[in-house]
Order: sequence, then C-alpha cells, then structure tokens
Amino acid sequence: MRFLFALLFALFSFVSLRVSAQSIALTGKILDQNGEGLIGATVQVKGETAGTVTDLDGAFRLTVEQGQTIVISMIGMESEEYLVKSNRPVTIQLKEATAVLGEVVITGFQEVDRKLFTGASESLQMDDIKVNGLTDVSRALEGQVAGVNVDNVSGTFGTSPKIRIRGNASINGNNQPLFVIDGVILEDLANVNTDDFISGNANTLISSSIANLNPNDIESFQILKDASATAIYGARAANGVIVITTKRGKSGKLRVNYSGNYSFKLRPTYNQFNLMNSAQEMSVYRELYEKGLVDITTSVRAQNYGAMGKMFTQIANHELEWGPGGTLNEEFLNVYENANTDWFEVLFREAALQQQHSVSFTAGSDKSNSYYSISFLNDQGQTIADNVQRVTASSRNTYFLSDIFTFGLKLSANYRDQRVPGTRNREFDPITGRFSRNFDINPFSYALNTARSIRPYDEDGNLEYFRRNYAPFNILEELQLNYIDITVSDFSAQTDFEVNPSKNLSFKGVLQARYANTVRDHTVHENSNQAEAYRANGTQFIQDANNLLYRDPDNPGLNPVVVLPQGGFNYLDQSELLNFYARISADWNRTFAEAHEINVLAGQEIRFSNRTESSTTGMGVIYESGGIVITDPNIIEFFNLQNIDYYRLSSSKDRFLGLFVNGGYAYKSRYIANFTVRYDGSNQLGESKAARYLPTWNISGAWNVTNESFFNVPFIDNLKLRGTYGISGNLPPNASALLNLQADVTVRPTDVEPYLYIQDLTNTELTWEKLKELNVGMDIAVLKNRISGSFNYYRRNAYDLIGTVQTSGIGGQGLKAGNFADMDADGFEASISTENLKGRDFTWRTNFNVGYTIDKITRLDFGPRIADAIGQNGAAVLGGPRRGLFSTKFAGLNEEGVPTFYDENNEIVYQYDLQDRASLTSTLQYEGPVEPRGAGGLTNTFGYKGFSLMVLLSYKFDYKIRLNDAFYATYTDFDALPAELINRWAVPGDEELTDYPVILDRGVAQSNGNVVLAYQLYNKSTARVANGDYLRLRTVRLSYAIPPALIGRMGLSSASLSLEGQNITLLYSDKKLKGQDPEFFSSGGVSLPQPKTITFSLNVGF
Amino acid sequence: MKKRETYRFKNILVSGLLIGSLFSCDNFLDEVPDNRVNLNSLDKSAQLLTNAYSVASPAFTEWMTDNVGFTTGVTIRQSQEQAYYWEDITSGPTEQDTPDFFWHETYNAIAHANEVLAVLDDFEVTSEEEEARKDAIEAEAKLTRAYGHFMLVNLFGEHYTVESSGDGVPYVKTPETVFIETYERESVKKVYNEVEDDLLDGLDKVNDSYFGNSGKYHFNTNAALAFASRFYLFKGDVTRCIQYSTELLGANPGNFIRDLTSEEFQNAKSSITGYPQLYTSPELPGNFLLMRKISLVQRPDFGHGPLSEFYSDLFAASPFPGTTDERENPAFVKGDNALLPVRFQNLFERSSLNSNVGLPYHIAISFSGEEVLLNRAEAYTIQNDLNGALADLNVFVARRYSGGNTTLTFENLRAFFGANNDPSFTDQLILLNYILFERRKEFIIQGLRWFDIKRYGISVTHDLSDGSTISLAGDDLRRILQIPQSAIEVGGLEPNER
Repeated sequence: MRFLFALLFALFSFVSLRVSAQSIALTGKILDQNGEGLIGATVQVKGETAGTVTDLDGAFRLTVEQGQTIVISMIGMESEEYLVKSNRPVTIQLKEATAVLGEVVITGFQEVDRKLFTGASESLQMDDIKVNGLTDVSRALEGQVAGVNVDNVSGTFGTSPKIRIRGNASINGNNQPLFVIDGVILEDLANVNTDDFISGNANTLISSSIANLNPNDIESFQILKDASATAIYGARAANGVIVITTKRGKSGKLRVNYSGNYSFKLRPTYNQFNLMNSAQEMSVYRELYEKGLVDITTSVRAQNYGAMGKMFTQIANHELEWGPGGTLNEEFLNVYENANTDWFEVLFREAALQQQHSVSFTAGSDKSNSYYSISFLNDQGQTIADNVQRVTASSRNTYFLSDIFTFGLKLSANYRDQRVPGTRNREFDPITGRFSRNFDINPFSYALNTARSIRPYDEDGNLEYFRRNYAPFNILEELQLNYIDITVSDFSAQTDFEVNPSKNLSFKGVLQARYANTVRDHTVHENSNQAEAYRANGTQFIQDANNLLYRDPDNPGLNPVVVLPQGGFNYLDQSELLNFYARISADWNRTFAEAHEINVLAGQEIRFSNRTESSTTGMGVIYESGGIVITDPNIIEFFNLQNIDYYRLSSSKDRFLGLFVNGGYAYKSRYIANFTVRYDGSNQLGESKAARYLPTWNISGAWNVTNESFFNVPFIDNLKLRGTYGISGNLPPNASALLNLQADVTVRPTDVEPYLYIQDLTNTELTWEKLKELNVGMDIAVLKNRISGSFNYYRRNAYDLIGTVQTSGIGGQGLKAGNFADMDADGFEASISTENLKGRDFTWRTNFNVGYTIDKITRLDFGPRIADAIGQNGAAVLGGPRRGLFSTKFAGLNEEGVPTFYDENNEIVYQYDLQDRASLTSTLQYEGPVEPRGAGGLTNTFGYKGFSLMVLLSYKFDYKIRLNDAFYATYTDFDALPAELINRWAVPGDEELTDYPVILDRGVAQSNGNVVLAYQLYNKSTARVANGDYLRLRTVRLSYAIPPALIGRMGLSSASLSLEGQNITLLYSDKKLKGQDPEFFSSGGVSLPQPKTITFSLNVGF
Repeated sequence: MKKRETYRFKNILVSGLLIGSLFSCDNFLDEVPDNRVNLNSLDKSAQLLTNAYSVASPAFTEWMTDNVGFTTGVTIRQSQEQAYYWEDITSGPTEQDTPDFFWHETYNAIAHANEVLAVLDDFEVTSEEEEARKDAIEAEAKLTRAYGHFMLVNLFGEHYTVESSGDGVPYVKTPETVFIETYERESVKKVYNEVEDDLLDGLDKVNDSYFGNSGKYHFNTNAALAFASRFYLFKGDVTRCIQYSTELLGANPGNFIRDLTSEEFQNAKSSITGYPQLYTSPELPGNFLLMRKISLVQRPDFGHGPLSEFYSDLFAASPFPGTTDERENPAFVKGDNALLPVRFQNLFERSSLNSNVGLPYHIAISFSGEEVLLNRAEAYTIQNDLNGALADLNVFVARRYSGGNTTLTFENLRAFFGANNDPSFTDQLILLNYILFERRKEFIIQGLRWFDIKRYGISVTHDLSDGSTISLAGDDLRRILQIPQSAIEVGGLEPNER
C-alpha cells in the first residue's frame, strides 16, 4: 500500500514539474548510425526530470526554455547533449554505446560511473576479444586482462580452463572466479575441484557452464579483481568475479544479424614429438628379446603385446614358423619394422571442420525491446572419436511499462550432444606416485604412447589385432565400441524489474530459475576390448593373472571364472541441477550542491541449489540384441567383494543468503570514498551461528587528480589514484562443521551388512576461508588519451584456509581438515593501451598487459607425501607456492645403467619412502611453482580502411613443468618409445656419457624390486623437469568490413569477413619439452590439447 | 514532503528486508548440505556401531616377541624392523601394523561408540521392544569403547598392578567437537576402572537378539563374557575371571574349542584358502568375536617370522611323546628361513577392479573359546585350584594333539619340564609355565604373546643378521610403547619415559 502511494506521489510530482516549465516547443528526430529513426529514446532537459520519448519514427516534441540543454539517451546508445538555441527542428544521430560501456563498471548489482569507481576492474567488449570459432568464451580471456591467467589444461569441449585472477586465494579449495551472467551467479553443472580439471575424467566435460553459452550472445565482460570490486559479492568473491553481460534488444526496426564460422582444426604430427620410428622400436624389441624380457613364454601370458608378442604367440599356436634355426621370424617382423604407423593420421582428422551459426534478431519500441538468438554448433571432432553438437536459444525482452517501472524477461535454453572416447576415472597409486587409468583409449595419448610398429590394418586392409588386457585389441574398433555420449540440457528463466519512484531512487529485483540435466551414457559394447578383457581366460597363465576374473571364495580350489560371459557394460551417470536465485536491492543517489554525490545501495540475495548425481552400471548388456541384459550373479558378488558399487546416488543442497549495504561519496568527482558491508550465510558450515555467517567488508578511496583545479599538466588527460582494503571469503572445501556420517557396506567374506562410518567429526570451530586484500592502483591517460594505462599493486593475505592437520587421533579422526593454513601473495598488474597511429585510413593500436603474483604458504602444519609432491600437479608445502613441483634428486646412472638418487643425507639410493612426509623438503629438490606466476598478452591491431589485422601473443612465465613419464625399467612391444632411448646406457662406461637409463635384464628386474622403482623416481627426477615459460602466437586475424556503399545494394546493413588462425605456434618454449604443450596436461581419458585452428567467419546484418 | 516520504518508504523497505531475512534465514540455512546420514534412530546407531571395531591388529607386537627371528628373503618395512629392535616405531598412522596405526584406528572405533552414546538418550522409545533394543545398542557401544581402551592401555601403559599408578591413555567418553582438542593421560588404574564400568554396564544389557547374520562381528554375549574373562585375568581378579569364564563355557567347555584333530579340520588342511576359512568361520562356536584387520602380519612376504627350526621345535615339544601337534600345519614358507602357520586368509581390497593398489586385510579372531579356557586354567592355577586347571587343560589338549595318549597329568608335565627332581618347581609353577607354553603355541602370530611377555616380565632375545643378539629385559621401559608423536605434540600428552 505504501509502495503504491509512493509511486502515485512520485508520478504526481513529475506531472507538476512538467507544467511549470514553459517556453518553446522543440521538435526533432533522433536517428541511429544508419539514419533510421530511433524509437523510445529519452529526450530530457538536463538537470530536470522533464522529458519525453521518441515515437515510432524517432520524432519527439518537447517544451524547453531557450538556453537549456537537452539530453538524448537510450539504452545501448551513447547519450548526446544539445543546447537549445531556437525552436528550429533538430536531427540528432546517436552512436551505439560500445564506447560508453567502458566508462561504466557493471558489478552485476549496479552500474557505476568509471570515474567514481574505486576498485580494480577491467572491462572488455566481446567484439574486441572475440575469437571466432572458440566455443567457450572464458578461453577468450587468455592474454587479454592483466592478472587473469587462463590455462587451457584441456581443449576438449566442455572442459573448463583453469582461470585464476591474481593467483590463488585458497590452498585446497576452489580457485576459479565467480561467473556472473546478467546479475546472476552462474552455478557449475557439477562440482569439480580445480585440481581435477587436469584429470581427464569424464566429469571434467561438464565442469564448465560457460561452454553452454553462445559466444555471440555476449556483449561484454567485466573483470572484478580487487576486494573493493568484488566486495558486493561478499563471501564467495575471494577469487575475483567475471561479470558477463549479454546482448539486449535495441529500439528501432527489426534487425537481423547472422554470423557463421567455419573452423578447421589441424592434425598434430609426429614432427612435434620426439619418438622413435618403427625401425628404431624394433631394434629395442630385439634387445628386449636378447635380455629375456620378451620371448615365447612371456608373450603368451603378456597383458599387452605388439608385433613381437604377436609373432611369438602365432609361433606358439603353430600358425607361424620360427626363423631359420629357431631364430626370430624376420620375414614376419620386417613388415612391422617398416610399418611406421602414423597414429595421428589414423586417429585424427586432417582438418576437422567445426561450424558455428548464429542468428539474432533485435527490435524495440518505446514500450519494449527484444533480443532473440539461436545458434548451432557442429564440431566434427579433432579425432575420429569425438564430436559435439550444441544448440542454444535465448530471448531477452525488456518492457518499459511506465516511466518508473521496467520489467525484463530472459529465457535461455541450450542443449549439447557430445561423443567422447570411453573412459573410467584415473587412480593414484601411492606406491609408485603415478596416476593410472584402466582401458584408456584417448586418441591423443594412444598416438603418443603406442608403438609405431603396430598397425591398424593388415596387408589386406582388414583390422589388425594385437593384445591389450589379455584380449584382442584394435584401436579403431575399440573407439567404435567404447564411447561416452553426453547430453546436457540447460534451461533458465530470469526476470528483472526496476522501479524508479523518483529520480534518485531505484529498486531492482532479479529472479532466476534454472534447471540443467546432464547424462553421460558410457557404452562398452560386448565386442569391445574392455568387455572381452572380462572373458580373457584362454590359458592358465592368463587365468592366474587376469584381475577381472572371479575366484569364488567358497570354492577356493577352483580356477577363476568369467563373470561377464555375455554382453558388455553400460555406465550411466546422470546429474541434475536445480537452482533458484533472487535478489532485491534499493539504490539511492543524490548530488547535493553540485559537489557532493552520495550513493547508497542495499539489498539482499538468496540462492538455492540442489544437485543430484546418480550412476548405474548395467552388467551384461547385449547391444546387438537391442540392449537386453544378461547379468551373471557372480559379477554382483565379484563387485561386492571388492567394494565396487554398481549403483550410486548422491545429492547436495546449497543454501546461501546475503545482505549487503554499499555506500559511496564523491566530492566534485575528485575525492571518492566507498564502503561495502556484507553479511553472508551458508548451510555448508553447519548449525553453529559463528560458522555459518560471515561478515565481510571493504573500504576504498580514489583521487581523481586531474579534476583538481590546481592540476594543470596539459598532456595528462586523466590521472586517478586508488586504494582499497577489505575482506572477502570463500566457502571452505572438503571440510564439515557438522558430524558427517556416511554409509557403506562391509567388506568381508561373510556377514556382509550395511554400516555407517564417521567421515568427519563435528567441528564447531569451522569457518569460512578469508582473504584480506590491500590494493593500490593508478589509472592514467596521456596525450589526448592516445596512451592509457592502469597499474595495480596488491598484497593478499589469505587466512583461515583449510589445511589438513595430523591430530592426536584421540578424538577419532587422525587427519582433520580445518582452518589451519595461511597464504600470502604479492603481485602487480599493468596494462597499457596505445594508439600508435591514428590516420584517416590507417590505425594501429597496441595493448599490452602483464600480471605477476608470488604466493607463499605461511602456515600449513601437515605436509603432503613425497608421492604427492613429485607428480605433475605439485603439492602444497609450507614456505612454498600453492602448488610447488618437487623432484627426486637424480644422481646419475650407476655402473649398470640404473638411475640413482641422492637421499636426504646425500647418500646414493635407488628408492625413497614415497609415503614419507617429514623428510620431504630435505629429500626432494624444489623446482618451482607448477602454476605460472606471470602471464599476459600483447595485442596489435592494424586497421586500414575496412581491413583490420589483429595479432595476439600470449605468454606465461616463472613456473615449472614435469615432463611426461617416458622411461621404464622395461618396455613392451605395445609402447611407443622416446627417441632419447637411442642414446640409452648400453655398456659399462656409458654412465659417463648419458643420463638415459638402461633397459633392465629380466633377472635384475625380477630380483630387485627397488631397481624397478628407481625408474619411477627417474621420471619424477631433476632430469625430467622443464621451464614452463612460453610465448605463443595465439591469434592472428585478418578481417574486412565491406563498405556500406557496396552492401547497401545487396540490402544488407553490415557485412564483414574474417580469416584467423588460432593457437598457431609456440614462439618460445623450453627445448626440453620436445613437443609437450606447456599448458596441456596429458592425462588421457577425455583430455585433448587445444588444436591449431584456422577459422573463416562471416558476419552479415540486415 | 516528497523527499521525506521516499526516505521513509525506503527505510521501511530495507528494514523490512533485513528483519524478514533474519527471521527466515536460519531456517533456510538449516538444510543439510549433502546426503550424509543423520544419526536419529536406533537402526542407524546400530549401523554406526558396526564400525566401532578397530581395523588395526595388535598382532604387530609379534615382531617384538620371542616368536620371531631374523628372517631373510622377505620385505621388511622400516616399521617392522624397528619393532624387531624394540625401537620407537616412527612410521605415521597411515602405515599399518604400527603403534600409531593402532592408536588412531582404535580411537576412531571408540569415537563411533561415543557418537552413539551421545545421542542414544535423546531417542524417544515408545515400546518395551524399543527399550530393549536401545539397551542392546548401549551395551554394544560400551563394550566396544571398553575393549578399545583396554587394548590401548595395555600397549601404551605399563601392565596393571593393584598399586599401579603409571600413565595410561585418555579414556574418551564424549565426541570431539572442536578442531584441535587436547587430552590428558589417565593412570592405568583409572583406565582399568573405567573399562570395568563400561564392561559391567555392557554385560548387564548385552542382548544377542538384534544382530543380523551370525552376530560374530559384534560384541555378542559370549564375546562380552570372553572380554570379561581376559579383563579380570589381566587385572589379577582371578575369582571374577573364573566366574565369567565359567558363565560362558558352561558345563561343556569342549564345545567352544575347535577340534583340530577332527575330520573336518584334517580334510581342510589340503587347502591354504579352505583351512583359514574354516578356522575363522563365524559358524564355529568358539569364534566369539571376529574383526576385519588391515594388516600385513599374516602375509608370508612381509616382516620377520618364526624361524623354521624354532617353529618345528616349538610344535614338536609336548608332554605327550609320539603325538602330533595339529597346530603345526598347514604352514606357509616365509622367506628363506621362516614359517608361518596358515590360520588367516590373506584378503585384498582393491581400490578398483584392475588396480594393484588396495588394502591387505584378514579376518581376525579377537576372542576365542581357547583363550577363555586357558584364561580360566590360569586363574585356577593362581587360585591354587590345580585340578581345576588340569581339567581345563585336558579338554584343550585333547583337541590339539593326535596320535597317542593325550591325558595331561602332573607326572607327564613334570617330565616334560625336566623338573622331576626339583622341588622348587612347584606344581603350580609348572602348570603356569605349561599354560603360557600352550598359549604361545595356540596364539602364535595372533598378538597375544606380547601381553603374556608383559604380564609375566618375560625377557626376549632377538638374533641379528651378523649372529649377534639383542635383548629386552623383563623390566625394560621399551615394553611400554611410545605414545604417537602427534598425540604428544598436538594432543598434549606426556610421552613415556625411555
């Protein structure tokens, strides 16, 4: 009631003001850039509320006094001012507001005049950073913003790049920034830990919600970096915020825009990598034979074999003769010696085509405007085993119901259908410190790891089989029979409303509902190797060795039996997300005495999300017979005994609410002060009031030096100094405040029963991870804005971080996760834009940015195991960075060619205790952070008439990379071999010349387990580390905007063409990498590197 | 006018929002974040107690006893080597078969009992049936808690004596609810008193009617009585020991002693998987309490074992010449020079199907009829009821030795110990020695020998690779295991003297 009254009152006063001013009747027309009348533009007398809006033709009529200034404004257009001198009709053309947006900082909660903004933020127009052909827009940020580091750890569609703003704010928790789209926080489809982005597991494919967005729908990005900028997001903003604004409708007649991309992904080649060819491989196999590692007895019982093993097996089966005098059958081997299979050619498409088509419609009047878009992506896939289709549709309507009430409705839907090679999750083996993945058929890994002497086809063009997992294997067939189909459906509806009861006050509300459903359907066909491996029981040797056979505990004397006599598997993983979001806020602005600007924003938000995940395993599915299921009861028993669930259900519920107040004061736009206080609550931290709520706050100030009357340096156009200090937060990961009991089923031979166990004890002291941040910055523009730059220095102190502690154990939990770790970070960011040339036809602009952060863990009581620290992902160690890489100290080869290492006492050993924690820093060599400390980009844009050439270089520096595992005590004839093996230790004395270890004799390998483990350590040693620093030619784009004169005749309003190359080459990287992409983690599964891509694109507007 | 109206409107709205949200938000945030289980019923309490049994085996103490010798050709982990040398075992709690592992896993089991006991009284019971169920759950919780502390105090404290005031372990009765809690060690005596309280409460309320399956993986009545038998024997209260042992064994103690001379056991000997399955079967009446133990002790490829010569001599020795001790075989060959009796199935829980990583475990017998019978015989002996003891031993030996007359008499015992002409070697002493001897054979590599060594101050000698030997005297402080480092540093406990 009061609300209505206030509304009426405001209306009434509005009318009365209009009546009081009278002088001349001004008429005119407001046009857009193309000369079309603009509907619904506001024409207002400056400093007053009097005004009108334009009609269907863009015409208006307004009563003004002579000498007054009128302001013409419209959403999406640059405002224009006009001084009224007479009543002569005026025609005013408005420009599209691309440039204006740069002057406004969109926090997602409000839009703040850049001049009055005190935080560190950067805004980017999609048009400026757009990468044609890129499907995930978050990747377009690479090299564009100082302090924002994008690591493309996998290039597969749907995987999320690792994005870090100003380094890390958490040791064990999430370090991804918060994504906000049109004011609403974007929830991830599934909770995937940042460290798991590199895992190559199938759930990484749904880690990015951004991949569901149509890049063409996006208008701009705003990167909020420091505590002041992110303060309004409170407790979840410690990692920075990326605010994405999508396109809206524009007033005017219907406009249609089409954009199409055709991208060709280029195939990798062996030239990039340092591997042996098949002839070289065969010479190694001969050595294996001579050393007794491969022969007729080992081959028949081998888990995997290639050419050599095939020969022996055929001899054993009397299908093939020995060579003369019982030697190797050279005739047989010769074929494979010369095979030199190019697996990239076999498994990758030469130029895989990816098409993206997007059509958008915009229209609007003074009552409403609309934006509709649909897009279609069809990616044929880099490899023969993957492809993606994505359809997105979006509509965004804004209704101007009255001068004071605006209502918006946004609907979006997208659907993805993706196929990837079948994979199971990888596992960590703490004994050897390695990750392993069963049945990995990732084409990239396969090409790099499979012997080139193996052939996909035989002489007659038939598929040729070798052995893997004791069963026949052919990669081409396996990729046909073992795959995952992923479908993602994501729908959301959002309404926004805005009420402006008076000029100074506005109320805004946002409501969003979103539902997303993801299904991963993994087919393991009955004829696939993965299914056949369950049936591999051909010989007694295989029966004894094959883990997939079942030994009946009740009949211990019997041979192991097959538990999958027919059919294959169907693994179905389903996850659902239901999300609601609501926010309401009031914003009040007023300027007193033309000098004091005051702004207050207050409001509250509520988030609600439910996630459920379920997975089922169909056992004995016969696909050829329409998917009937014949399940052997033994397989259930078999799984139970090993504690493997064939059904799993989990759900998580996230409830979050926040109250916020933000106040700003500016004196003559010179001195600006700002504060934010926010109070957040979450259900993730249990019942304790102290834990579940977190107040955060921030104060900041800025000084616009150039606005001072005394400041009179002609060449400086803008100089602003900024400072902020405040606290933000992060939900604690992997820790629970409430007693966490989980259910399971006992693992024992009899008396199987369900039970509960304590996952986490109650921890009433658990609290949010917090971050204190001090930021000082400067924005400067000189020489008529030809050169502008922004510099920030920051100190961050992350505290109350979740760390794991070894407790006394007396309470029942030996390792506890709690607020026990601190981390400091210092860093700076600099970005400079210059307009080097600004001629009539020729322009040249340069953007350079760099960000550098050093983080250091200052408190962490309990360190990782040696096994954890030597892996690719590094580990958190006190005094080091968030993830530091450690190496075993290689001490050269011994007199038998076996690698040796220095232990903590500098004595030479073959093996460390990988489970040890205490001696980690004294035993291992610290190499450096695994995450780049510094990153940035350099963009040069040249324009000549309608042509434009853009060159983007991106670079990262100051970090280390663990080279992929390459050396083993022995090799099989299935494995690809590193070319370095040519220079391996062969005869005593070689240890002086080479660091590449010997292939062990069978006797040595069997008698001394430590020697074998020494090879694992060698792969993790100081000899197997490279610098990560690189400089990449990321993008080169040549585009041409067809002049209006030409296209006008075709009935088009705009048209442009472009050709671009993506990810073209590494201009600099450590030579030791030998082709290994410094960004990419080759972890098999579904991970693929970002390909080199050439994209042709066409944009047409009607 | 307009201004003021707007202000008021805004104030009302904002304060309305604030107040409204403060009222509603606590409820909104009460939602449990995931599918964790809420401990709100008797059923769930019972399920939580299913995990109140420590996966750590006390059998690692065998590496400190006189049952093992310097074994070659096996993998000896650092912790196993340290145990052999009676050094403080430095491996952390993740390494199985270490004091730290035992400490952490046992307190973990105790925590399960405490979580149940903390909420049990809050449940509303409406029927007698529910009341009885609740009592049964309370009994199991208290028995597991008592058993956990009992084992801890006997490993980490000195052996109980009436005047014993040495430091024991903290007796934990409430769940830990803060991140880092500090604790204090209670005296051995106090811990024994607390154990006794819980044990008696448990005995009072224990009820077997609610266990599914065989009930052998839970503290059933027999298991509770067997625990009481061991507890009072260790405490030196032989009257009670006899009382509870007799309550358990009844008129026919032989029912609870597995008959190794029987056809069933003889037939099973041909299979190294079949024999342990029978030996540890929940069907056997004498297997009172079974527990899953994560351990390498029963693996023939790890750690020092009974040397072959010693093993043969041990089982060849008996007061019944010409008979066979059925406990000697089957045995695994362990390394180059040792043997290991086949009693327990070496099982392996893989972390996934094709994985070679996982947890080695076996099903251990935590309380058995044999132990109770031998406990009673020992108690009788101490009480000087030598005929009572002899009767019990006769029941026992008849099921162990075959191929001759196995009637045990003071005469053949005296002859066996070569004490015919030694009057200082009383019948009582002879019986005691014989009981310890049978216990040693019966429970070899099962973890009870260490407690006997501690109880009776038996000194131990270990030979080393170079032929030299090291010894642990009867009063050596190293018999009291050192408190885990983290419990000293984080938990604030006093370390044991060295």
